[in-house]
Amino acid sequence: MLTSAPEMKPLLTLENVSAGYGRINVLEGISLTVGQGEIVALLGPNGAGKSTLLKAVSGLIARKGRMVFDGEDISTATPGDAVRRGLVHVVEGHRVFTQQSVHDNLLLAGYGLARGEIAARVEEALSFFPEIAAKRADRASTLSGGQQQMLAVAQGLVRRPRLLMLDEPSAGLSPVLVDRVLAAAAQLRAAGTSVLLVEQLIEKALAVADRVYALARGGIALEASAKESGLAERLEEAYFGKGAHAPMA
Amino acid sequence: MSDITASMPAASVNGRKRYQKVVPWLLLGAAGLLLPLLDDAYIGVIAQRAFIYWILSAGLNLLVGFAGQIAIGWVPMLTLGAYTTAVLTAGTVTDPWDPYLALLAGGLVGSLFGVIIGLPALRLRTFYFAMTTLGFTTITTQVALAWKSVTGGGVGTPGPVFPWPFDSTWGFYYFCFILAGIATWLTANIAYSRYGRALIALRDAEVAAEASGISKPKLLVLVFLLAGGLGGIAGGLFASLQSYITPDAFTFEMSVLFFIAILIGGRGSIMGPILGTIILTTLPEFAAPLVQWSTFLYAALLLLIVLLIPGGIAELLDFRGRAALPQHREIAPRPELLGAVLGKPDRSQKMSLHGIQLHFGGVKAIDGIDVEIRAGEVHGLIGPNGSGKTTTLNVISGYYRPTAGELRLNGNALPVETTPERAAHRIARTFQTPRLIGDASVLENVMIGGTIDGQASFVESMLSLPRHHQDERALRDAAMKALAAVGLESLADVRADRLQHSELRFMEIARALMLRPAFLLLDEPAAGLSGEEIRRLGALITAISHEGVAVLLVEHHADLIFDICDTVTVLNLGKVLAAGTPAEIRAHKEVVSAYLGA
Repeated sequence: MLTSAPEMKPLLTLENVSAGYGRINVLEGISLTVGQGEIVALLGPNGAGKSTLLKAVSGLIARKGRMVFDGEDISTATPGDAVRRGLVHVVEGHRVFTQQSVHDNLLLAGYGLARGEIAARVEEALSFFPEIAAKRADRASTLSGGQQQMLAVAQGLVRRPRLLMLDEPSAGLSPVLVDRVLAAAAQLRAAGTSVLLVEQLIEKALAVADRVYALARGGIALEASAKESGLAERLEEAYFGKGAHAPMA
Repeated sequence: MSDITASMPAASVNGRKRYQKVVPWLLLGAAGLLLPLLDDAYIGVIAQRAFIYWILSAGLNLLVGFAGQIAIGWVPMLTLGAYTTAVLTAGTVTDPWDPYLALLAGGLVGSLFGVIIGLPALRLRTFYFAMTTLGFTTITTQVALAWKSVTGGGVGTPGPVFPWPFDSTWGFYYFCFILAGIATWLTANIAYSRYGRALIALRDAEVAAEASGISKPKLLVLVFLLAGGLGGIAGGLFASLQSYITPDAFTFEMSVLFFIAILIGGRGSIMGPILGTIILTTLPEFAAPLVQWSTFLYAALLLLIVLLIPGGIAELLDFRGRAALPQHREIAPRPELLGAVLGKPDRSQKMSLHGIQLHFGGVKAIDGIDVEIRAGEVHGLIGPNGSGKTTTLNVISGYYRPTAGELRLNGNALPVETTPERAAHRIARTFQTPRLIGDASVLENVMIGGTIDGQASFVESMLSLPRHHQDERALRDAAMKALAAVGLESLADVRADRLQHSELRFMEIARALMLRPAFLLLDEPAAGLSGEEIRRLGALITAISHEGVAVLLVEHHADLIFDICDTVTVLNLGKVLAAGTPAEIRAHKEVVSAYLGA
């Protein structure tokens, strides 16, 4: 039966999620949604818990609360379960397998897929980054820091995820490449993939995102459409608390 | 200065901390002193064995727990010390020696062979070095078996008896106790000096340690001398305790015991491995019926510890590391404090690269670069990913030897040098991925940066002489000032691996400032920082250059580059694409298309 839903169908829904490391709680009562084919930017100062939230979603750390992905409960899913369902997480800090070749890194990203399929997907992922395609036989340790970051993003693309979570993909990339990575995100959206984007380059993130959440002090401080006017000021308020002015050295 | 002391923890807290630290040592010492009151010879023998094992393990602990060298086979030091002492005392080869002198000779032989067995470690890494120690263990035993005229072969040789005042059972007990105490004191002095911190830095962040001027070969040779010597002394005592030694007394299991005692004790700790040694020495006695199972027990214990408490006993005892941190912290640098950190850099300093090339096989990573950086200026180095920016920094700080070209300092060409030698020219740097010692405090991490300014020799530090204390005070003061200048002084006591990414970037700058650099190389210091943090970083870097430091800044945040740089060089494919003022670069067509984007 066809229904004309007024809103985008949610792909990922978090309800009242808490997470942290050991006994130290970083996140408290987080609720958010990511719609089908939507880019959602997750912004906030360093230490607000953005990376922690991504890790909680992909199952890398223990968490409490309810998480639904594509209608199924993933509150207790392992990282492996999450990946098999199409939820892929590109962690921060260009963490690639440095002792393996670029090509092997991408094959590993497609671990478990059918063999013929992987080859095609790897080519597809490399087509976004000709710089590293030229170095496919080289060990990842010989890539520069920025090229390793490209490789990490390319790894995220190999599975054609339904939801791609990118943690600071711009770190260490030159301005043109940042634009290219974000353009890749927009291209994915056009193909129906959702993207949850953690980024410090606020303007660039807002330019590509549909909606934005600001995380501050372990909770959601703001939710808005990325095209709203006056968003920059509201974000600043959300970051530092109302009226607060950060002391400038 | 006054505001720095104000931010230190209150005196009463300090006092309680010290009290908490001293109590376990007092308890151990009292137990050792009073044990003879039990007047149980059996317990006495086990305790003596524990003391002797610990004398060896105290030195081995510096190698394994601090320097991270996998010296599995350290039992040859015990073997060599035991035979040297026994043979010299017995007079098999020469006239009989005084046992105390013979013990000293055992220590010296241990030192000598400690260095010989250690030499491969200066080149080989991890497991390969472990293999060489194992090989040496076998060789030592075989020689002891075969060299019958000296060692008595499989029949063995009697151990030394130490004359008055340590000749009675409990006399020998106290002799071992005192030597164990001295071994603990000596190694603890090293462990908590700049040498000990440097060992940990080599273990966890070798690249950063070298950039701070720490030379791995020099330092490791000293530690091998000490660890070998203590092993030799332990051997001499062991021979006396056994009263008769044969080669099969020095088993491979014993080697494993020493190694495991340190592992379960926890790396980078002294108290942990002591407890580990005591536990492993006494365990088989409690489980006497299970003596065939002792190897199995060690293995099981090791597995349990690795699974349950990966940090070892020391982690269980570390209460400070688990205290909650303030959650929403801000980095507020205070550039006005930089003067006190940097002193007065020489404002005429200048470094230039002339036609530097670096080829890896057929790949030209850098293909003829000319750059000049001057005191008091911020020089930006930008370019597409893989254009050779970090590689250029690595050539300057001595990790790579250029294929062609010259690096000149104030007009004089620098010879080919190692990284620690480059640090001596006051060339400091930070890294694209922060290099930190995770389980050391932020303050200790920063103190690493000032290692080369210490005055006390290894021996002075080992004996806790006055210059060692001057060094420690000076380093601590300077590190607190550097932390205050970058805005992290409230986190000085926190374990570094608990810091946020952005805080680590500022911590690395503080560590680099400790070198009182004439040249500061920063590799993407703004990566991963928020907009506000980048503004503060920019102000800090500008202030550093105004103090008279020459800054070379690799960055991708174009706004930051154009805001704070005096000159900018753009690299592409290992060559200089453009150079000039920020305004010229911003308008440069090729730079815009290759790098900046529309």
